[in-house]
Parts: sequence; C-alpha cells; structure tokens
Amino acid sequence: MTMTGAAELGTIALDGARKTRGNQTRTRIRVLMLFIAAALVLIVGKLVTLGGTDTTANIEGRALDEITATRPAILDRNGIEMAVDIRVPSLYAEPNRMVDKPGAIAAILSVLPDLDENVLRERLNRDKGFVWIDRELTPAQKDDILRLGIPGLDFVTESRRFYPGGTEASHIMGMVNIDNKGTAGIEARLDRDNVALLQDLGFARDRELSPVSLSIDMRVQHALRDQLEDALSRYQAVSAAGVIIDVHTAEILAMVSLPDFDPNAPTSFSEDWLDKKNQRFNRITLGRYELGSTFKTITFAAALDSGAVKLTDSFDARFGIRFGKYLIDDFHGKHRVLQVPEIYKYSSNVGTIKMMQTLGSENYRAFLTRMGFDDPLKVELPETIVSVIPEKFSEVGAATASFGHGLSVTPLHMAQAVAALVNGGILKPATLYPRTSAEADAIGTRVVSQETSARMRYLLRLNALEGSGTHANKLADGYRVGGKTGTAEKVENGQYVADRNLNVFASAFPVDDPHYAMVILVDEPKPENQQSGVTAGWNAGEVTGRVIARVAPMLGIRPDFAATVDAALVPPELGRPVVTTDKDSTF
Amino acid sequence: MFSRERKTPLAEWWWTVDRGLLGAFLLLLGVGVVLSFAASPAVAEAHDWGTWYFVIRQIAFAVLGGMLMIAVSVLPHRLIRVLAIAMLAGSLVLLLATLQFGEEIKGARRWLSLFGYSFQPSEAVKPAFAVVAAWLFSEWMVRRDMPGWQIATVLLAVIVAMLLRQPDVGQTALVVFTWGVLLFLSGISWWVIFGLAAIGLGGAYGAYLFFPHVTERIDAFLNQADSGVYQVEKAIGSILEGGWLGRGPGEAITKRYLPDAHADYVFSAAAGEFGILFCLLLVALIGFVALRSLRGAVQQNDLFARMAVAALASQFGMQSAINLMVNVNLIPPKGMTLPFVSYGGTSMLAVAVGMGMMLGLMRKRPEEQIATGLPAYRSALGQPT
Repeated sequence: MTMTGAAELGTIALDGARKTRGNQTRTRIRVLMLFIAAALVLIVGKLVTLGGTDTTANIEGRALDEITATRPAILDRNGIEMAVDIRVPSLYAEPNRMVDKPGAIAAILSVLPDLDENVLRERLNRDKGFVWIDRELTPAQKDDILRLGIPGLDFVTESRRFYPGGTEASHIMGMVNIDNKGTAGIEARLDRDNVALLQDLGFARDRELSPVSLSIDMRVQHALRDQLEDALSRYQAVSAAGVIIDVHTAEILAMVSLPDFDPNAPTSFSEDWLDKKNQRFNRITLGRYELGSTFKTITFAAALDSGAVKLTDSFDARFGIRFGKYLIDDFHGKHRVLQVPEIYKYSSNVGTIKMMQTLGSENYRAFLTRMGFDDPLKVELPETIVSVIPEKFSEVGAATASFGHGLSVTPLHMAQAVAALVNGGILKPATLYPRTSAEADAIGTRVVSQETSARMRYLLRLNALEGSGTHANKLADGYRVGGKTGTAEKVENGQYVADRNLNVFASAFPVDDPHYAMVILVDEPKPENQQSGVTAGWNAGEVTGRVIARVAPMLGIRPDFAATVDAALVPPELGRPVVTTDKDSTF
Repeated sequence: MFSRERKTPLAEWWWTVDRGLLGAFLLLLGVGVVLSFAASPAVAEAHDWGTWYFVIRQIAFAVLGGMLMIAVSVLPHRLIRVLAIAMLAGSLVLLLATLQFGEEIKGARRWLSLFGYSFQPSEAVKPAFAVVAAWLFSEWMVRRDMPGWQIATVLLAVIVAMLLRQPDVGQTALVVFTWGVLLFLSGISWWVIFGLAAIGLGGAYGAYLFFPHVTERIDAFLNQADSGVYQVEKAIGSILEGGWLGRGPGEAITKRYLPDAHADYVFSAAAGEFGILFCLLLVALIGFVALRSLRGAVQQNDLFARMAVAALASQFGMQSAINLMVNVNLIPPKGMTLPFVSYGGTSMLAVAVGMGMMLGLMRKRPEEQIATGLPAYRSALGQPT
C-alpha cells in the first residue's frame, strides 16, 4: 500500500518535472520568436526609412522636378503662341558611377571640343554624385553623347518659359519664377487651377501638357499696344492703358497697360519708370480710378431705364448747383435749358445731377451695384482690385458720383458696363478664356432693357458725331464709333490737382450693331501741338479712333459711310433726328 | 499519388509535412533564381565568365537544393540524427583539410577544392552542429547523468577554433548563437544567460581588438560619415536608387558596382531593380519561415525534435536577419549569405539539408499520439527517444 503510493508519487513527481521543463522550453522558444521578430521589424523600419528618403531631390540646390517641370503652352484665340516651354537637354555626370574617367574625358571632348579639358577633369575627379558638364545642348550633340555609351553620363531636360511676343502681352501673361511656378498674370492663375498640382504629382515632368487658349487676339493686342506706345510719346503721357472686350461674350480681346515689362526678363517688372517705383502694374485690372464723365453714360442709363427720365425731357442747366460751400458747374457750360441728349453731348454736370436727382440717389446707388461696380472682377488674373464706392451717397456725394467723381473703379469694370449697355442690356463678367455668346448669356444678368440699350447706343453715337467724341469718330471714319470722354483731375495727397488729368474714353463700335467695347486711359497727357487741347477727346479719344481704324478691318467690320446708319439709331420718341441740330442752336 | 487511402511513403510524407513552410522554401528558391538574373550578370561579366555563368549555376543549385531538401525531409528522426552526425564529422574533417590545403580568397582560408568543385565546409557545419547539439542537450535534459551539454560545448570549442583559424567570424558567431539558443532552451537560469551574454559581448570586443579585418569593418561602420565602406555605400545607393517601386528588371545601375551583388548583397541589388516594396515582401516571407518553424517547434512533443527544430529555425532566422541588417547597413558587413536566395553552392545545399532536416523533424507523427493515448495538445510531455 505505502509502496504503491511511493511509486505513484515518484511517477507523478517525474511527470511534473518533465511537464515544467516542457513548458519552459516552449516559453523560451516563444522568447526566441520575439527576438527574431524584433530583428526583422528593425530591418523593415530601416527599409521604410530608406524608401522615404528623397534621392533625386536636389541638383545643386534646385529640385530636379523644378528644372524639368513643364507648363502648358498658352495660345491666343487664333492659335498663335503667347507662351511656350523651351526644353533643352543638359549633360551631367555622376563621377562616383564612372568607370574609366580618362577615357570618358577624351570621348566627351570629341563631341564637345569647346569644353576646357582641365575643368572637365577637375569636375569628374570630384567624388560627388552630380556635376554639370554642359548646359543646353542641341539634340544632335545629345545623340552623339548617347552614342559614346559612357556609363555615369546622363541628361536632364531643362524647361525654360519663353514668351515669343516679349512685352506684347506682359500683363496678361504675368511671369514664372526660376522654379517654373507662375507668380503673376495668367501663369499664376494656371498654377492655381491645375498646373502646380500636376507638377507636384509628377505628371508635368518631361512631357507636354495640352495648350491653353486665351480669348486674346494677338493682332488686336499688338495694334492696341502700338497705339498706346504712340500715345505715350505723342502726348508725353506718364502712362496709358486700354482694353477691348467683345460685348456679346465679354471675352477680352486685348489688354495693354504701359509702362509694361518683359516676361522673359522678370526683373524688368521692378525697373523704375520716370524715376518712380512700382509703375509697371496692370492699370486695367489693378488700377482704380475716378473715371470722370464716362460715368455719365451709367447715370443716363440708370435714369432712362427707370422711366423717371425720358430722352425728350429737358433740364435747366443755366446755373450751377450749390451744395453748402461747393458750387458745381459745367466745364464748357451752355448755361441754358438742355434736352437730355444735349446734356450728354455737352457733358453737362448740372444736367446730369438733375437727372440723377429725378431718379433718386438711392436708386442711382442701387443701379451702380446692378452694373457690377461693387463686385470684384471675375477676370482670371490675380492682379485685381475692388472698387471704392461709398455704401450710401450723401446729397453731394451722389451729385459728384453722377459725373464720376468720388468713386473709384477699374477700367475693366467700366468696359464691362459699357458692353452691357450696348449689347442689349446684359452684364457679363469679362474673361480671358474663350467662350461663346450663349455661354456668356447663361451667366449674364439683365441690367437694363433692350430699349434703354438702344437709347444708349444712340447717345454714344451722338456724342461721337457731335460731342467730345468727334476726334475719335474722324479717325475711325466709317466704323461707327460711339463713346464718351472722361477727364478726371488726379488726386495727389488727398487733393485734386488741377493741371494733372487722367483722361478716359469709353466706347463701343460699330455702334449700330455693337461688337466691341473699349476703354482707353491716357494719364497726364500734354497737348500734342499748339492747336490741340488737353481734354480726353484730344488724346484718349484720338487713340480710340486710331485703334479702331487699325483693328476693325482685322475683326471683319466693314466700313459704312451711309448717313442712314446713324439716322436709324435715333429713337422714335425724338421724332426728328437730334443729330441734325446745329451745335450752337439756341432754344 | 498523394491519396490518403493507400499509405505510400510519398503520400504519407505529403500529408504529414508542413506544406506552408515547404511552399515558402520553394518560393525563396524561386526568388533567388529571379534575383540572380538581376544581380549576377554584372558580376559574371566583371570576371569574364560569360553573362549567365551565375544564373545557370543558381538554377542548378536551386533545383538540386529543392530536391535535397525534400529527400532529407522524408527521413525519420533516427536517420536524420545519423545524417547530422555523419555530416558534422565529415565537415569537421573538411574544415581541418581547409586549414591545411584551402585556397586563400580575400584574406581568408575558407574554400576547399574537391574534384574540381570548390567547397565551403563552414556552411555545412552549421546545420549539422545544430541537430547534433540539440540531440545532446535533449538527452542531457531527460537524463541528467548523460554529459550532453558538456560534449556539445567541447564540439563547439573545436568548431570555433577551426573557424577562427580561417578566420570566419560570421560563421563562428552563428554557430555560437546556435549553441546559445540550445543552452537557453535547456532551461539554464537567466543569471547564467546574462553572464554568457556579457562574455559574448566581451568576445565580440575581443574579435574587434584581435582580428584586423573585423577592426577595420567595425571602425568603418562607426565612422561611416567620413569613410564609408565601398560595399555598404553601394548597397545603400542601390536601395535608394530603386525607391519604393524599383527601376525595373535590368534597369538599375548602382548594383553593377556592388561587389558580391549576387551573393551577400543580393538583397540590395534586388531593391534597386524591384524596389523596397518587393524587399518588404521578401522580409515578410523570411519572417514567415522563421516564425512558422519556431511555432512548429513549440508544437513538437518530442524534446529532441523540439530542440533541433528550434535550433535550425533560429539559425535560419538569425542568418537571414544578419544578412539583411548588413544590406541595410544596420550592422557592419560580415560574410553571411541570405539562405536560399544568395548565390553559393555549398551554402545553398547546406541550407537545403538543414531545412530538410527541420521539415522532417516537424512532420506529424500519429504514432506518438497512439503511444500516449492522448491527443497532441494534451501530451505536453515529450516521448523518451
């Protein structure tokens, strides 16, 4: 009994010891598994770190991506290249991969004999991963080098932005920086849209992107710029700018602001102009001006469209209007009772204020908003500025605003507004991309009625025939220009300076069937000669006329000299054509 | 052929062998062949042996190794033990011969020319020692009067002495590591383990002090900022060149300047062509093999089988880990191949025999369960062998 018990006990004890030992080896094998797993995890970690290392990041301080990044070509509406990428092969070596350096030097010199042998030897003997051998080779030289079959030599295709037109469309193009990123103009806009994204994703490397077309017509752009340059010298103006838009689509056909710069040499942007800094900005979208009497066009449209004023109405313009200590009078006053078309034709401040007052200053302010003057420009340039228009007009504020003082807008705002007033009454935001009239209609808003638009065409044409636009009309004879001048005294240090004017001409042509609207600015013009004046008709108006005479044939507009064309513009309520009245006739 | 109904030896082998592990080994052999296309032509051309010199041999050895592995895995435990003892004895003789007649390559006497083939006995000694030492240790664990671990330690001393004479520090470390694993599994106290670890570190320091080429490599590793070792620099360069997805087969350039791109640095060369993601998969495959076979060791009821499988598996894992760590520059370079992937005839065949023995020892043995009358998970106790 006890014997059996002891034997059993022994067996059990032995079993227990074995079991413990078995469990111990099992536990320790698991420790081994942990150990090996840890070693492998270390290796995986190191591999992942190596994978995250960016190897091709730099070539002498510049990212390879940036050197080779391509941008889409930019074309005008007729397919003429405005900006292209020039892609050139550049030869580099990786000395630490080269096997036979003396042989390589001899071979390279056989293809590129102009290289200095000593310099080449010194470069290849550096223990570096990268040295340039020669930049910007020809494709033939590249083929010859490749045919040598030397290990450790390779090419980078460098991209350079080139603007074949040079200064022609500088403000539209903008510029790119050394990394091929757009920093101004449509180039910056392209980046904001998608190019930078493509480059970051690596899609835009070493390959062509499909070109981008603009609404610009390079022929018109050139003619406009040429005439503005002519204006700078002819009138000794400090600056000049102009924009032409299609009234039905609001596409910008040409946009020039002088002084400008050469996008191929971006530093030219910051060069001084007439001893002043920062003069080379785009005055059409980034300049904000009191556009003077051109605003009367807006005021007339507001008054006529509301129905408060009819073309047949007359207003007393015999005396100036006094607001407290201010007296507002007409510049070339007739000092008599004027019919509405006459108020426009003679650019009567007094008559315009009275029309505005009949309309009501709040209605007038609301009309400015309707015409898009409060909205930021939708044009695809980063260089835009918002208008400065008082939220609510005071009595005197509304009065001055009716003839374009005390509120600042960009010339492009004015061009859009003129286009809307002549195209049948639909305001469409100006764009640099091509679009059809239907697409523009879809995003346009009706601002005045068809009838009002017809009356505005009549008034614009009337002014060109008999008012301040005669200079323009004479130069663009047959192309039926209609337009309104504006002469604004410039503000310096918060004061109006009487002898420094900003002259504007806002026009449309051919006014019987309007296609294009144009705004021309000439800043601080001097009289061309003894006989000529200094008001807008003499300079901005003349520039407009010359531009139309040049671009209208390109744009397919036939000259028409028939008097019936102008007669047809006269609205029915006027009964007899006002166009035939004598300039100095008295009532 | 593999029908369960008739117990042919082949069918029995098929249903008892660890097929997942077998598949992983064959996959590794295949990867080795594919990588030899990437890595070895440049080396072969540099030696003027013809472009496909190493590729052809790699394929031949892969086929031979695969067949050898399967053949060995069919053997029962007893024969595996006999094979291991014979292999150990044979390779010890050859090691001795190497010291006498070996060819000196790159400052070490590791190669023995036999019937026109060169042979590296130090590769063969590793798996043989693992199995023999595992047997000695397990015997000692069961019957304390049997001086198992003492014999194993003497064997180790002899092998280490001969390997260090070559000198071959990498293989020495691996053999010592195998012995250490067995000692660890045999249940020595943690105090002894820490003590031995300290001695091991001391030994490593001694190697650093007394073997010039070890000193050189470790110094270079520690000062890699100013003077990188050529191979290491090229290995890392090759990995960086490949990036995540690799340059594509035949496209990588750095690997052409990578010495031993077909052997010790096959992993870096592969990275240049097939990318880091591929390398991560390869590491995962190696990890799968090491961990699955160690888990297999845990499941063994037979103490000898458990010890031997654990020793062989950790030897495989350790050798792979050391090779990979050298490739990614985590540790200084030492001559260690990537099992089944690197080029090297002796290495390939020796690893094949070792893994064949491991597969054989891991095979399910229903007779064991019948003997105890308990299902495997209940019979925690190994059968006396």
